[in-house]
Amino acid sequence: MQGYHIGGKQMKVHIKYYAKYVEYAGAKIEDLEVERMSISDLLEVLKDRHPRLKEEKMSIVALNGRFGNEKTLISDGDTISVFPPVSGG
Amino acid sequence: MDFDRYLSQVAVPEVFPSGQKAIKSSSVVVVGVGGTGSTMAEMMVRMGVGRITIVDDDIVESSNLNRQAMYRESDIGLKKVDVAKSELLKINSDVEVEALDERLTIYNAEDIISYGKLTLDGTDNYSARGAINESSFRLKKPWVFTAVEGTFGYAKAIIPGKTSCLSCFGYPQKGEGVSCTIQGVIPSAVRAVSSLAITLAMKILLGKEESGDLIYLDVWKPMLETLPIPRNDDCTVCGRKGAD
Ligand SMILES: [Zn+2]
Repeated sequence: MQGYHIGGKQMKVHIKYYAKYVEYAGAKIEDLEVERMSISDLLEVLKDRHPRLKEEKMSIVALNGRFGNEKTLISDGDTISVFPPVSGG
Repeated sequence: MDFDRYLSQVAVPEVFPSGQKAIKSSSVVVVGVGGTGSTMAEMMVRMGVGRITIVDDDIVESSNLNRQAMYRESDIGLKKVDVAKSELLKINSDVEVEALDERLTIYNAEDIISYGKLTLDGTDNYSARGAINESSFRLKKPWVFTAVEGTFGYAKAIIPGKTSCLSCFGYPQKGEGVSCTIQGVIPSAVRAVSSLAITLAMKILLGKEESGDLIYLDVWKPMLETLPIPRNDDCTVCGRKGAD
């Protein structure tokens, strides 16, 4: 498993990709080991791993199936769901 | 009211005759009568809403015909609101239909939203939704958010003072986004998301929607997920840390 070992306690998190992000990430689900960080920082890590995620101005991110503050810190075992924003009608 | 035409829906315990009266006494505004908007407008009128205001400044194009309700080949080049108004009145002459040949912006959003008790989002860009969100919060009026692309889409009820708003969870508040014609969307996704949105609209009108969950639907997989969005105290529109 590829991780981001920069020191500090490592957290195992599950990332769930939705809609076209499955194609961008090459997987529906990805398990990562990262340092404790905020949801918005984690999103930057994901964009580095999968540059096509940068095609969207922003993403909608839920923590353990709930939306909340992107400054919230992730914990070991969390599931992070990443959705593309959509504008069409 | 010709009650017979609504028999099948009032037979559903969730609606019942009292619910039909609530629908009949309601007024809705449909902003944008493209894919989702034309479908939602048609459904509201078939279900017997009292008054509907449709808002759009586009004309019917051939690229609309695969997924948009009511429009036909012979309508190409005509104003969408004119065609839609005439079709809606043919479907249900009891309904009062008002057509506004306008594009919703931050400048006219409050005036437009004031036409109804509830707003249905049939827009195709972030800025218009941001304007509906802010104006609805100021006027304390509920609205239903929809968005579609490819094979998937979202729907969410937004009830000021009760649920989270569109700005509570990281949905972009500005910008044009990419149109359906360029980004691509399958007609069944448009209809499915519209159906979810109309169900939310009914629940709001009957006082039975409280959650404001985000509904994610992918018709291709197929997959439906409901994700709670709590109110965000730091939200720049409805946050309780600002002026509520
Ligand atoms: Zn909000």
